[in-house]
Amino acid sequence: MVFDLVRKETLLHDTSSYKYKWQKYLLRAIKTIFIGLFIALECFIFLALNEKIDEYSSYGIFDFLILFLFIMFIVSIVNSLFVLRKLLFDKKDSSILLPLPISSGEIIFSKLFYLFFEQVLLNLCISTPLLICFGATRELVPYFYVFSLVYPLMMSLITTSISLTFVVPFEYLYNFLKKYDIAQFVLASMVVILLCFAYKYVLDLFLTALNDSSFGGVFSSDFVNGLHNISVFLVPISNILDVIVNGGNALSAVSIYLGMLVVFFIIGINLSSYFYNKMNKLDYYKTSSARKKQKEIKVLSVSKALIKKEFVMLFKDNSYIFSYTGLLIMMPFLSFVVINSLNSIIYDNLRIYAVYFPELINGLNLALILVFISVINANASLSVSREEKAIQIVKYLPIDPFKQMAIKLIAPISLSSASLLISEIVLISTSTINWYIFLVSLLLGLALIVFTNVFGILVDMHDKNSNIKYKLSYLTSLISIVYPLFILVLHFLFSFVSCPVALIYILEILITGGLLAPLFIKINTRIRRLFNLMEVN
Amino acid sequence: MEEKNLNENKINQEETIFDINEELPEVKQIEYAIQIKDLYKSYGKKDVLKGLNVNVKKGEVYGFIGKNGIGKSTTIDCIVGLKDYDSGEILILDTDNKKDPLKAKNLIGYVPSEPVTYEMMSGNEYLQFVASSYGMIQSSFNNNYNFLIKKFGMSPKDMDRKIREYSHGMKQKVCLMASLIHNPKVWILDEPTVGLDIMVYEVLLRMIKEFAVHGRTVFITSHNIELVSKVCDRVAIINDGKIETLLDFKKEPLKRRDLSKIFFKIYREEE
Repeated sequence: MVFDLVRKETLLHDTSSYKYKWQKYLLRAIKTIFIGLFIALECFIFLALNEKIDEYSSYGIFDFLILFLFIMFIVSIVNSLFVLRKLLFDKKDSSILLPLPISSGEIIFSKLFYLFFEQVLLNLCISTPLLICFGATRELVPYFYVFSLVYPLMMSLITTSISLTFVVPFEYLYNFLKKYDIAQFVLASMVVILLCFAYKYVLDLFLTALNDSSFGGVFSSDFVNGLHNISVFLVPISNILDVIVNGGNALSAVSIYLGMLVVFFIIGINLSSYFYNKMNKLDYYKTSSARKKQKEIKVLSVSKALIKKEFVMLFKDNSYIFSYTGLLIMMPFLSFVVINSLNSIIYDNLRIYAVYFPELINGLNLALILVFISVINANASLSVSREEKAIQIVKYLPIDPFKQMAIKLIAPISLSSASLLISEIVLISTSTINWYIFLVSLLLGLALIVFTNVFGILVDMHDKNSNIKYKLSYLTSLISIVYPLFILVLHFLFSFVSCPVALIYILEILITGGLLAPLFIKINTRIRRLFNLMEVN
Repeated sequence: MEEKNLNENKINQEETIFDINEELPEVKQIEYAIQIKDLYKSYGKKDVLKGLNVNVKKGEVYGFIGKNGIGKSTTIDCIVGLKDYDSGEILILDTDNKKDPLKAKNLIGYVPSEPVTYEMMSGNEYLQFVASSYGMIQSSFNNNYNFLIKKFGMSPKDMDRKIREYSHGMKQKVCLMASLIHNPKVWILDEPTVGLDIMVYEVLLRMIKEFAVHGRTVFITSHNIELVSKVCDRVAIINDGKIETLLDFKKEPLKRRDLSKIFFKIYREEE
């Protein structure tokens, strides 16, 4: 029975549907090539680091290997926690399985098997190549290579058991966040800020390495010694590798590994089987006893009601919070770091070309700001698709179509414009860009935001399965890349023919205006026509 | 007949939001609530409606039945403005829904076949949104809101919860409430009984009757022949894009009992 259930999970999670068999094989071949390329790149970086690290660290790459594998171990736990939550607490799945004569133990085991194999594959692609590279550089004995293959099995067992233990509290936390929008927003902001710091750290390392033209600045003695001291505590990875590579204390490594495995499995199995039934059968989250003070429900003006709805949809859509909104929050930071580092790279290495293109740095800065804002905005205006079935409501309510669509544009345009303005202020206040670029990029950026959003909503009003929509969606993405490139080329060309700087900017603004303006001709009529033709099912 | 009159009197005596005394004189003169004239609608090469003609009188409950995929929902979609039609005319209380769609939509309360709401909103937020969209005034909203939550047995605590946490039946209740919150003149229901529990089903039956007693009009499609035969004054059976048979239960009350026989006869003959 357990194997039938595992098979069911495999079938359920194979979401790809193909018209022809060759498509299936082609996709598999492409996937394999990408995995192969990833492994090759991973090995290349590891081997390159290995050569460099010996110069700066007396401990060699062993500590770095432990660190990489430990990070991978944490990533696997987090990943399996998300996967297991989805597997165990899928309402539709449990509504089919619970009435069947299958014990909850069998259901949980089948899901654990599925998760285990997924984790093994992930580790085989990421951890095993690193271990094999390490073995090859240290010329270790053959059993190390056998260990490299067994390692994914060992680690997947322990990550599965840890995620099983934490899946119940995680499910409670997930539902808590789902219930309270403010908690969701706070968490999303924290994640974005943490990502910003991580991003800044990586870029700092990159900049240090670039400025030093070596890794001396990155791998300072403090960093290397700190890592060596910490690596001992990165259990169970450090103990296991110590036994295999340095012949360390095998008994202690095995005891720690097995101890963790047994403890987590026992706690996990008991917790999850108890709560699997409880949560799925009782629908526990419906019994929230949070009693709020009854407030009078105020009738709003039509515009206010529509704006409120758009913002509710924007901020209560988890994926949107973490993609579009998250990117908008990150944009000021991202543009500052990238433009700053790019300027220093150009200043150090490409200064010579400024003889031919005096506007080299300014042109690149302008193009980069436009690339960021246009790429972030490319899919911002999916306000019609985001309605899903509720598009029926949009159609039958007695509100002017132009008003409805105009209000749908307010949220993404205002959020993107605010993000652009903050980015510009950050860039000008840190003297990363000059006032010309500040003004021109702000103006062109705002024009681009309005254009991409209006164009996006017109595309989005077409039938979701139509060829026109398919083609126009590509066009939207293309515009977001092509337009900044076009401005860059224009800037270089005018700069090359020694056109006065002010004139370059004026020409860019005029050309942009000329290119974008046709979209707004009879926009009211076009929106109304598309709205009437928009058929909903 | 006597029993029906008694019921109507009982409904009249109860508190209601459907009183139509405020109706404008020009509206009072209109005979038909819904007029569909020569309606054609196709999906690609497939013709679904082929010159459909329907006249729904003011104050009646009009049933619109037929087998699956015959065009019932398409007709409703065209009436409420969800779908554009190829040719023909649809008048809601003499207002052309293509020429003046906003006025026509204002007159209608619509219940879709599947409960469709903004699930990330609470029940209260959704009703607030719908009421605001219809430009309601605060006092009417408060009045209608209190009446409807009482009628449909929704507690204030339920109304404060996110709709995505509701059961199918509760979602259907919210849709029914949203369709009535602005006190429409014409109530259009597309398969309204799917997923409703027996208590709400009874409430719905009473609401339909009450709605019509106060001079408003109900247009209903349903697979539930029992419901249609119980509440409708007239029933149209649609086949091949047109009305095949029109039954008037006021003139021929005995046909209420034979509705399912007539329904099956039409489709068996066709097969």
